[in-house]
This record gives sequence, structure tokens and C-alpha cells, in this order.
Amino acid sequence: MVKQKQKNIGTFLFFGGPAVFVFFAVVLVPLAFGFYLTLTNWNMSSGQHRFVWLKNYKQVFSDASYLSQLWFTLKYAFFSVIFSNAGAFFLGLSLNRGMKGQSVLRTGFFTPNLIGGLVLGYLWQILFSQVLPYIGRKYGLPLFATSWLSDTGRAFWALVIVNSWQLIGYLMIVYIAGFVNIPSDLLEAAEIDGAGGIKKITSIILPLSVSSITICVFLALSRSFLTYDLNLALTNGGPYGSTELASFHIVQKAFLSNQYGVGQAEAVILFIVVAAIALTQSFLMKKMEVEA
Amino acid sequence: MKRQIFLISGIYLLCIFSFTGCTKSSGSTKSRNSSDKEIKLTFFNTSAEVNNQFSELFDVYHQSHPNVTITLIPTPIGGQQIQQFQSLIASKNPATLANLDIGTIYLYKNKFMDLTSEKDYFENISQQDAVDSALLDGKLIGIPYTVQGYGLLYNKRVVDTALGTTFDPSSIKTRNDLEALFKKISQAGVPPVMIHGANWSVGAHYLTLAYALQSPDVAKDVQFVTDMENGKVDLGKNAIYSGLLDTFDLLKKYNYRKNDPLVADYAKDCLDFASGKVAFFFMGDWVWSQIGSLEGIDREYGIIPVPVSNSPDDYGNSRIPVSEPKLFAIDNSGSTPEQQAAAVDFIKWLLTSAEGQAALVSKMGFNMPYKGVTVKSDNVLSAAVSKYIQSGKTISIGVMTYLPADYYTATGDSMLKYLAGKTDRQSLTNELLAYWESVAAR
Amino acid sequence: MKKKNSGTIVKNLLLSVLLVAFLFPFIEVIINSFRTTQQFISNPVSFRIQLSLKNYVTAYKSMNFPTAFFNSAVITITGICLIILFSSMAAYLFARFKWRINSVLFFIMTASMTIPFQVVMIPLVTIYGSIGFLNSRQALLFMYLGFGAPFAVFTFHGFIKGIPIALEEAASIDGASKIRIFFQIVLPLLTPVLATVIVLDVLWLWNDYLLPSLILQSANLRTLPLSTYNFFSSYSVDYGPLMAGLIMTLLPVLFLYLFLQKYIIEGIAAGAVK
Repeated sequence: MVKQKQKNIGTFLFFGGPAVFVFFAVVLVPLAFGFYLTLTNWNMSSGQHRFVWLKNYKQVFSDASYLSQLWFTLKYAFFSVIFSNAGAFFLGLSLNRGMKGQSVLRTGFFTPNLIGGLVLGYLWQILFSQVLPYIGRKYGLPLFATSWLSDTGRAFWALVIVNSWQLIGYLMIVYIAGFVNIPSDLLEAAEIDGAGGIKKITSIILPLSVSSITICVFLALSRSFLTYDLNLALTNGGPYGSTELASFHIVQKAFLSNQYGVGQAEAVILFIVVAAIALTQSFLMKKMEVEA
Repeated sequence: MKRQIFLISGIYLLCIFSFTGCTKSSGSTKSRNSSDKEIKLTFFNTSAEVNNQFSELFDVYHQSHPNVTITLIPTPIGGQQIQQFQSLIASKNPATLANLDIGTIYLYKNKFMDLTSEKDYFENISQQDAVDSALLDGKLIGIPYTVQGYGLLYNKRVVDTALGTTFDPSSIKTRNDLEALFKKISQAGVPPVMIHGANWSVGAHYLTLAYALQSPDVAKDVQFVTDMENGKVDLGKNAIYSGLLDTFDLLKKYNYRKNDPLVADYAKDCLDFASGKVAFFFMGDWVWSQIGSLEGIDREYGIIPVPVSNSPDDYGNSRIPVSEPKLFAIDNSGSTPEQQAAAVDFIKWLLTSAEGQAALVSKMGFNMPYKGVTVKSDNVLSAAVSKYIQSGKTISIGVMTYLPADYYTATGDSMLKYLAGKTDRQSLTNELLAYWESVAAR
Repeated sequence: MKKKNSGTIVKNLLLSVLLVAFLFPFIEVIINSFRTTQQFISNPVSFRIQLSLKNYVTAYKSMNFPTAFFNSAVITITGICLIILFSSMAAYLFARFKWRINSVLFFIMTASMTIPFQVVMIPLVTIYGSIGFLNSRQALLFMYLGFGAPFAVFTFHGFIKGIPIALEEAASIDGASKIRIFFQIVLPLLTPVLATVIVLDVLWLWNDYLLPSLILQSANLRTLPLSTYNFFSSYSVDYGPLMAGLIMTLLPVLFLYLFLQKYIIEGIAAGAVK
């Protein structure tokens, strides 16, 4: 028995050791330290270290704009997840048939990911604020006559669109890798039984893709909640600070208005909220997974 | 098969050892300098548009001072500059020299060297008030190197053509004068004025006048803000504030960007102004760095103040707000005395030598508030601002230094809502007061 | 038969239109990398093609392209190897050995993917700065492993679960050690996922700006994104050279993706999955 335990420890250290150790050192330790700092009045410029316990958290909840921004972020994440996953799933399906030019198409849809978030945001910003209004005024399209970024409602959709646009190519790859794992004889058998396209999707592909869907929904959720570069470049929180997503708001608070404790506290709360949502989602979906 | 295992394990162990065996302290310059004559300095630069010029200048300095090597630390735009600066401090690896916003220097004043002992030296070589405007709580911590002014810039050709005669800027002394002028220009088919719909322009530059004009004494302006924080000010009834906003209404009315005022594309606005699409532009002389190198644009510009009332003698109606927005500061939280001395020498060289002045003025487009600067700048806008400086017709906006770091985003956003017509004057005033009161609660 | 053909044609058409819409910003970058910044600002929509290489020359020089490229390549390649190797091993551990500690660790790692980087940024730099472990490639790689492990472990874990355990059980009965089972049986089966994770992580590492800007302070260590941001100034952007710099930065990754695409397909054709 002891020998088995030793063997197990050996296995654990060999396989998991490095990744877990580095993960602890780089992610968890700073996180814990950061959490500790929210309980003090530590500030970059003063360097003091006095315990203020929950004062920072109280300030977070008395900040009315924080809660409305959190809700705004939730809406944004929700729509981004839906659009990007629906799009990626169907694109993945379409580009998995071995049709001509498939590689080109796959590469094409993936290209948005080749450009970093900040620059991408600036490009779309020009598109929404200069290019589209120019076209809109020229051809008399009222929807595009003024910049989408000048109005809170339309700026929200601009964020969702660009985010989904970038996510689709990324998620499509994950879905394709998953489709590859679906045994082709199952599909052939179904065809022989007379199942049409839609039936194949709903009865075979969808259930066997649950693990891909779990991963993709989780990825889309976490990426959406962590959006910062895109927010900064596309709207910069505008118009008049009405499109500040959670991460952006945290950076503003912690670094720009030098309220580090409050900003970090907001980050801790955000983390708890997102973790709760994401983990509930993957827990529920993992239950639906079919173990091959 | 066994070979494979050995290979994998080998790579595995190698990785682990290469990490544990490596604690390169290559970032710290301290240990290297204790015995060498070679001095290495780092320069943290937030004027991102002149990164290359600074790099070149450091090479030039190295030629004549071969034992001193200065390396540039360039920064990205906006908020991320602060993050990088804070990260340098947090990592206990501060830059020896820093070119920072005066507000940032004030916030971190404990980390910088107090140069008050050199105050006389700098006062002797600079123009009047240049050093005074840079003092923080009475101490000289940041050295000024450029002065900027803002107001209603105008394109001479466009205005003259619209009026049919040469425009005399001194004829605009009151809001009524300005209104009449805008009307005439508008009737000639030219858009009279452009407001750049960004929170920093309307919040940091325009709205700050409401505090800066309360008194020529910066301390009294700061007191005004403190009173607002404590709820002691009835802002709506303050004559200066109301007058300033009445003028803003006038600018709003004739705003070239009226149809979509919040788009705020800086490059486009500057280009439109320089191409003569609009007569006046509420902005500052830093516009030159954006348009100076463009082709096919107008080259003659002027500037007039923003009138806040209809009595010509009221404080501010004939004065241009000027500031020294960035200063050079020397680190005092981790640099050696040799590095600090070398840094001071470098700054003195930069401000007094021919090459230093050439770099600052002609290559970087700064307006040095120093005596005996022989280099001629082609910055027409700075020249226009300098005229006001030389005749003493300036407003100090020093109050800005003492305001919280997020004041212009918060108050600027409220102003933008007003600009876009989403709120009325009363709501704007309430929002501003609510912000200042929230500052007191921090 | 005829019905199938017309359906396919419509679908192809739709996809092509969608593709063009998708690629529009990308096309913008290419076209405008040949125009000057002033031209771009005054007319962002022009489709007139001119082939001036001035921007590329400017970008190449001011980005110090060869050094930056080398730095990016070293960091990316080494980082990928570390992440792939150690994460796949950890994922195997978590997926196949149903111990309490494994589920807990996996849970924590997965949850950590929701942490915004800004939250750990200052503590991270404070801690590692105080022990002098900054401003080196090793420090950056160490941190990339820590930040990259969760996603890789998560992805590998999901796919390992989908692999029939029968193969491993058979090998175990034959007397193979766990190490052998992992490297000879499981790892080859992970090929499609490996390719996926490689592509996604390469993009992340290659284009990452924030972490290198905080960790790498010496000029000679600068990566491509760091040098590309030279074109951003306080108020606006020098679009011409920026776009050229962007194209030069993304071409290597594009080629990598095209290359790996083939590999995914080949791996499948070789019958790896069964």
C-alpha cells in the first residue's frame, strides 16, 4: 500500500509537478497577494500598508455605476457567446465537408485572430466612425448616417459584433477538431438509414460535440468577460463612459484614478461572478458529455 | 523506447534547472555602477510621438559624454503609460529620468529628487514664471522644458476670406463679439468653429477654465475646488461657470461637428482644420506636431482667447491659458548618487546646449520657456501663443495639477453628454457637483 | 442529384460573400499599408491601389525588425514547447487519475481562466521585481507557462476524456509504464488538439503586448508587438507604417497556420484516430 502511495506521489509530481508549480507561482500567489492588498489601503504612490478590512468592498457596492457596468458586461458576454458559437458551429460544419477551397475559406475566417486586439479595435473604430457614416450619408442609409459609436445602444452592438467576429474564427477551429473525432461510419450508417442533413446534425453531430461546445462556450464567456483591448480601442468607454466593460472599469479605477484597493476589490468580485457562471455552465454541460 | 524516455526526462530536467538556475538581475543597474566610471541611465518617456527624436538625442549626448549611456523607455498611449510607470516602480527598477505629466509627478512626488537647491540656476536661464509654474507645493521637483497654450485657434486664410478683410484678433473681447464674428463667417458659407468631442478636450481644457478663472492665484482656485468637494459651492450661480457655459452653448451652436459631435477623430479634426474646412478650432498649439509635416495645407494660423463674459475687462477674456504640461523628474527611489548627478547634468545640457535646444525645438516641436534659445521653430501655433506669454496675458491653469487623476474623464463625460444634447444645464451642474462630492468621500 | 448541386452552389456563394465581409478589415490593412497616413485620414475608403513601399521601409527601420523578429520567435517557440509539454502531461494526470487533489487542481486552473490580467499585474511585478526575476527571457517564459497552462490543460483534458481508455488499459496489461503509455499512445492521439492549441497559443504569444512591456525592459529584448506600438503617439496613430508593420508581423503566423492546417488533415488521414 505504501509503495502504491509513493508511486502515486511520483506520478503526480512527474506529470503535474511543473505545470502546477508554475501556475501557483505566477497566478495564484499574485492573486492572493492582490486580494490581501484589497484589505489594506495600499496605494502605488503612498506605499502604505494599513488594514482597512472591508472598506474597499463597501465602496465598490456604493458605486452605482459599477453594478450597471457589471450588468452591461453580462449582456455583452451573453450575446457574444451566442453569436460567436452559433456562427462558429455552422461555419465549422460547412467547412468540414471536404469541399473545394476549404482550406482557403478556413484560413480566411481565421484571419481576424491574426491581428492583436488593440489594433483590431482601432481599425473597427475607423470603420464605424468614419467609413460607415461616409457610406451611409452617400447612399442615404439612416442607420449608418452617424457613427454607431456615438450612441450607447449601437455602440453596445458594435462591441458585440467585433467581439463575435474575432471569436468565430477561433472557435471554429475548436469545433472542427471536435467534428474530426466523430466516427464517420456513424454518419454513413445514418445516411443509409435515410437521415437528412438536419437530422444528422441534431441526432449525431450535436450530441457528440457537447465537449466541444462546453469548451467553446467557456472560452467565449471568459474571453468576453476579460475584454479590455477591444473596449479601449473601439469605444474607449464612450460615448461619455457608457460602454465601460468590467475589466476596463477596473483598470480605470485601479490605475487611472489611483484607487487601487477599490479597483482590485472590483476585480475580485468580477472574478467570483465570472467563475460562478463559467463553472456552473461547464459543470452542467460536462454532465451531458458522452464518454467514447 | 528507453532512449525516448531519457530524452523526454532530459528535456524535462533541463527546463526545471534552467529556471531555478536563473535569477538574472539584468534589470538593475545599481550593482554595475559602483566601481565603473560608466554610468547608465534610463529615460521614461510619455511624449510618445517624439520617442525616436529622444533616442537620437541620447546618441548625440553619448558622443560628447562617452561614459554616460542613456536608454529610452518608450511608452504606449493613454492609460497604459501609467500602468507601465507603476510597474517600473513596483518592480523596484525605476527609470532614472522621467518625462511625465505634472499631475503624475505630483502624485508620486515622494519618489523623485527634490531639486529646489538648483532653483536659482533654472530661474536664471528661464523666462519669467516658467519655474514658478512648475513648483509643486513650493518645491522644484520637475524641470519644465515646454510650455503650451490653448484656446480658439484659427486658420488665417479661411477667416480673412470669409470676412472679406484681414481679421484683427484683438477685436474679439467679449462673447457678443465672438457671436457676431461666428454669424458673419457662417453667412459666408464657412463653418465657424469645431469642438473636438473628447472628454479630455472639453473636460481638462475647457471646463478647467471654470476653476482657473476664479482667481489668478492658483491656491484660491484649489480652494474653490475643495469648497465644491465639501458642498459649499452653488455652482449654477457662479458667474464664471455660467459665463463659460454660455460661451460653450455658442460654440455648440456653430459646431462644424454638430451632426455627430462625439466622433472625436483627432487626426481627422486636425487635418480638416489645416485644410481650411473650418475657421476656428478649440484646441492647443500641440496641433502643430500633427499637421506640421502634412502636405498641401494652410500655413498661417493665430489664436484668440475664449471669452467668458460680455465685459471686456473681466479676467480671462483677453488671456490665453498656458501650462507646462510635462516636466523632467529625476528618480530618488532607487538610483545612485552618480546616476542622479549625471541625470542633472544631462538635463542642464539638454536645455542649454545647441544640440539639445535644436532637438527640443526644431525636431520635437516644443516651445521652450527659456532665454537665449536661438533655434527657430516653424511652429506657427506656438509663435501665436508666445505673443500672449511675452505680453504677460496668460491664465495659469496650475489648479489642474492638484485635481484627482480621473477628474477629466468624469467631468469630461458629463460635458460630452451636454454637448450631444442629452442633458440640460441643470443636470450637468448637478452631475459635476455630485462628482466633486464623491471625491471628498474617497 | 441536381437538387444537391444547386444547394451547394448557393451555400458556396453565401460563404464567399461572408468571407469577403469577414476579410474586409484585413483588406483595409493591406491596401492602406501602401498609402501615406495623410491619405488614409482624408479618405479611409479608397480602393485605389498604389504600390509604394515607403511605409514598409520606415516600419522595418524603426521597428528594428530583425531583432524584434528574433525575440518574438524565440519567445513564441520556446513558450509553445513548454506549454504543450507540461500542460498535456498535467491534463493526462487530471483526466485519468481520479484523485481528489486532481479534481480540485483542475477546478482551480479552469476557474483561473476568468481572471483578468490587470488584476494580477501589479502584485506579479511587485513580487518578482523584489526578487530580481524580471527583464529576462526566462522570466517572461516562466510567466507564459503559468498563464498559458490553464487553457491548454483545459483543452487537452476535454479531448483526452474523449479517447477510449481501452487502448491504455490494454497497454497497461502488457506491462507498459505510465510514462510510456502517455508518450507513445496518448500523445499521438492528441495531434488534432495539439495543432489547435499550438495555433491559438502562437497567436497569443506572438501578438502579446502587455506582459512583455512590463517584463522586458531592455531595448534588445523587445518583441514585435512592442516595436509596433512605436507608431502610436499621445493623440493619434501613424497609420501608414503601422499597417505595414502589422503585415510584416502577421505574415509568419499566417504561414504557420496554413502549414498546420495541412498537418491536421494529414494526421487524420494517417488514421491516427481510431
